[in-house]
Amino acid sequence: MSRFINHIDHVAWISRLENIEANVAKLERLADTKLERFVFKEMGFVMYVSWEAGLEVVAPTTEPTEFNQALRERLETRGEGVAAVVYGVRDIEKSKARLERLGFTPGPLMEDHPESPWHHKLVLKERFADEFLGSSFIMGDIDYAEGVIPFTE
Amino acid sequence: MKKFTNHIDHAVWISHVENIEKNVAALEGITDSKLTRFDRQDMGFVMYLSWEAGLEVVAPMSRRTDFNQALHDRLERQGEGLLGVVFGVKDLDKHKARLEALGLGLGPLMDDHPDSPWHHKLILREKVAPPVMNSWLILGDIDYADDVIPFGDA
Repeated sequence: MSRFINHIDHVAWISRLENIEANVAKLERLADTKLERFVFKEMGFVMYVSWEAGLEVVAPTTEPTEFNQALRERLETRGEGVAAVVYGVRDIEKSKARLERLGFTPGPLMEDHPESPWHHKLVLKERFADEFLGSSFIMGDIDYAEGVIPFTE
Repeated sequence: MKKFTNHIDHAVWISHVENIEKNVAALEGITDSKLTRFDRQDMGFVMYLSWEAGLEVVAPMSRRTDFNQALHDRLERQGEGLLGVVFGVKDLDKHKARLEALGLGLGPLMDDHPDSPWHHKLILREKVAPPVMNSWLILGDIDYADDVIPFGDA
């Protein structure tokens, strides 16, 4: 397994649900890549992701849920845009402790679901760190299977 | 040398020049990293960068230039925030040709300045692509000296 340590891991845009297909199509054309679509009905959002490219686009569904409340508020206040940057760290618990010493209030731990369609590609733990200039900064402790991330000679 | 091929390379935030020291200090605090300052007097902007962390913060100088006009416009319209992301490609010229065939034009070529404090760490060519979801997508053909990017065994 390989990972980013103190380096950007991936970025996530937020889109309005009615625009997400067009936005993803444009991103795919520009980046010459393909994002996969997933629907998280209970949590109330649609997600397109390419772990290989480090690109993610999310859109809250119309039915309000506890999870998608923050996404809907973000769209209402700032519109579409880059909502979050995930930053790779060596040890998410040590990173949390360091942030707490500095006065930050990190969020709860988020782990990849064992039944997720990409679970064979990575082992993921994430935690919200803070807001920075209007976007969320998320710490990621993400181990990728060999060959997933195209950083080579 | 190594490069990101069809993967995010780094993220870029835009700041007012009077706030950039404070904003960079906050980013350094969150990420436990250190960004290096370089003033692009020729293009009219200040940049703080850590290639090792994939983090960049830019601020247009008050003196207007052809280059920094777009940064001023962006600050006036949307304020400080995440300006865009740089996406690594294998061959910038081939990528440009592919996009042009799709009717999508790119901006002019941007190179690293030879006097930059990181010039020994990389060979950089970038072009700005059309915006997506109110953010800039910049295509980067960036070769890093070995061990600059901390992607390795878990």
